[in-house]
Amino acid sequence: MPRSVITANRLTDGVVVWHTSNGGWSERLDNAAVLSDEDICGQVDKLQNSARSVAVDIRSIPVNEVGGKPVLVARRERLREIGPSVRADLAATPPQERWAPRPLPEPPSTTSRSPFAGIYRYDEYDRQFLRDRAEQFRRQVQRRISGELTEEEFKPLRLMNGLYLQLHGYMLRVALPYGVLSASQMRQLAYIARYYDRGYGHFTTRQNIQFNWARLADAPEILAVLAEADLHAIQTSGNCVRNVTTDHFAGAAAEEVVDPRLFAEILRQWSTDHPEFTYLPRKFKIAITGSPQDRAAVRVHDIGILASRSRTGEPGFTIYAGGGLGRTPVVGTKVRDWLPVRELLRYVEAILRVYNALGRRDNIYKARVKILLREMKPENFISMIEDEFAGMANNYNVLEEDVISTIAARFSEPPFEPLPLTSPVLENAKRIDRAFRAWFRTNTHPHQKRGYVSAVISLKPVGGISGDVSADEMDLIAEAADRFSFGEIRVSHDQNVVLPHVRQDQLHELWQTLVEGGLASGNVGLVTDIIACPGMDYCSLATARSIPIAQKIAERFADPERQEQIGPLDLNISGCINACGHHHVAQIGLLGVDKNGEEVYQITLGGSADEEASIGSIIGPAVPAEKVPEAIEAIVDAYIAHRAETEAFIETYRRLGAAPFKEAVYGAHR
Amino acid sequence: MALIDSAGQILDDRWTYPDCEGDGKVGPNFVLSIESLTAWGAEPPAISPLGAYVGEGTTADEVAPFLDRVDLVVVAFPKFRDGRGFTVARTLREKYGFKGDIRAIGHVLPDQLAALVRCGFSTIVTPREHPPSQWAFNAASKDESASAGPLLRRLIAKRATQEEDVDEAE
Repeated sequence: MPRSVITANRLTDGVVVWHTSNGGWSERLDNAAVLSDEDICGQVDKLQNSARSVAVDIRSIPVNEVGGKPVLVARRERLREIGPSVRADLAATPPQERWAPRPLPEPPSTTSRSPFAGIYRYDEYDRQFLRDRAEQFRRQVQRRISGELTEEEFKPLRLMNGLYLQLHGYMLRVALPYGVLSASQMRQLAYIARYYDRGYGHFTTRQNIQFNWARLADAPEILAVLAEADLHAIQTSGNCVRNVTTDHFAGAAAEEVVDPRLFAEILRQWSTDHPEFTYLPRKFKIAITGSPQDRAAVRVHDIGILASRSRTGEPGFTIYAGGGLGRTPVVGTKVRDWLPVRELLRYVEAILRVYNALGRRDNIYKARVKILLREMKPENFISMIEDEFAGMANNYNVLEEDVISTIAARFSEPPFEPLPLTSPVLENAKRIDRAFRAWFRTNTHPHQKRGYVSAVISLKPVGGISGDVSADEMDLIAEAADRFSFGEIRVSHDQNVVLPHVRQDQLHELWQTLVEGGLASGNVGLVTDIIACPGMDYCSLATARSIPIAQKIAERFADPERQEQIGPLDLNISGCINACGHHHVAQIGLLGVDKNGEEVYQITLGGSADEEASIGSIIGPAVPAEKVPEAIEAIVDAYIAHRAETEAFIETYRRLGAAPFKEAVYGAHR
Repeated sequence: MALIDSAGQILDDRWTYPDCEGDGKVGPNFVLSIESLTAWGAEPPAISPLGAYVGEGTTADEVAPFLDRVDLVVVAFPKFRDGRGFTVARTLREKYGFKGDIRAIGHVLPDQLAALVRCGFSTIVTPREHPPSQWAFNAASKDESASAGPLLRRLIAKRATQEEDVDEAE
């Protein structure tokens, strides 16, 4: 006879709990009451009402009984019970010892300020706005706990503040607007990881950081601590305009034409707490870049903005809309060839207004703007936006020059020094130190100021977890930023960290510091620089794990010489169709799915997120987890065998099609 | 259900809203559906005041032809997560310059008060589960700095006020 147990997450701290026979909740599955399926429905209904102020997400799950003890049937539920499979070290800590005892020390923001970092400087109003939001959320949490708000009503309010309920409990997603932050802000994040979480955080593919173990009762205080460092979690979730993302070398890259940070900041301020666009049909993502090389993937966003200059040197924008990944991956449509700077907010608002009025609300999978654009036909969508745009009052929301210059003035310029174009110190270090030379080749990018260079700190050590950083590593990165990069840091959408402004003659010293701290993986852009979503180890939407697969592939290609021989190659993994791992736009993409309880992975080839964006194509049947590294190796070997001299993987693929790669993966098994 | 203003204060509600049955009677202080208003054609009866009802999925453009004969537009929120009503109100104010009363009805939350007001709503019919006391509390706890918002909002608001001053001077 089928048997089940009742589970939930404790409302105040998110800890996984099990309903016991004496009517209480236990942190241990062994104590759970095992009921027949007939009894359980009524019981769940009853608890959903009576226990709604102590527990959340109350539901029943099937178990087998082994030796008189309940054993969960589904893999996801087993992971939920024991914790992430990739962090076995965490499982030993009982819930009451997970969080640091109070009182807590003073947060770093009281002493650390990073005065030279080229970040946007808040004024007291901006700061107060964040404090008020934290205070507002404190009241909302109180109203939830008191029962004044139902979970259904509270959920969008907590999501608006970045607080999810995930597999193991609450997860707080903090925005790092357009990926720019200062050393002191990084220290504040380290403080939160250390004292409100379990010692680490995770950089996402959208220039955010996630804390996996936040408690609901602490969340308002965390927001207040973030506010003291000019950081927030506003609109990192929910059906609103999300964190605006950009090129991680913005304001530093040698080839940049327009610095996108100013406009990203303007869009951030415009979209923050926007009264009209906070309850959209679905989430809405905007990306902007100002380089000919698109590192921000603007063509796969709801709105993608490409900043460039006219023949006379005037900045302006090309606008794409309706791009996106997820269930229906699609490259965006160019909706405006040239938009003057002053019209930016008006035009973006016109798109959002059309979307908010007409986007589908009957089906969550068809609610993104890409579906509206497709159903309306691009030409009708464009004419509708243009009508909306033309109908706006002339003076409405215009970005006048004085408005732009006032905001631009709040970006401090780091005190760059006049330096020679090349550094003999750097050249000498490259000559004598082979490992440094390899790191230099992959992990740096040319800078627009003479004598400087941007350096990427890879968060993809072989055997590590893509994007995960410990509190100590965050402090180390902050320290390195203060010493070598004016206290300025970037996070990239491919889950690495950038020190944007390093003096060439100090680069070797920086590298040595990173080597000591274990942060000198020289694999940026190579096959082991894998983008991976948290997958089923953390995420309640996932259908398979991503991290262990990434680890196995990285181990397979661990040899630096082999990676160098393969050359630049991007490999992305998503643990479900929602595609947070951006697998569709990787040259090699993996999508984890569940097939009768087994984790299997679909392979896509030929994706690209850059200026020639394309969506990868599935090459054949999904491959079981343990066969994935082998399959990837076969694809890589086929590439090496077929490539013309310096040809990139995508070029070989576009020239030859999928056939040689299919043959490599499936040929032997047919 | 009670009627409140943007500060959360209770008002007398003299309006009759369209109900599902619809018995066909029409008089002053009636809120009428777009269908009813359309059915009157070019020569509507001289009843005043009248309201228009913007149901789920109706756009501001569809109610626009009737704005000169109504004093009130009632915008329905089937679910508080359904944000179409915000765009309806904004469009009525910004694009069509409607100066009358814009009223939210349906499932709206006290936490949405500030957004409703900023989009142009002037009154709200509160849902049963969120009585006026909750709204008044929310209105009172909203302080100065929060409404001032980030720098961009302050700069654009300042420009708009300056332009108004200039308009008046002319």
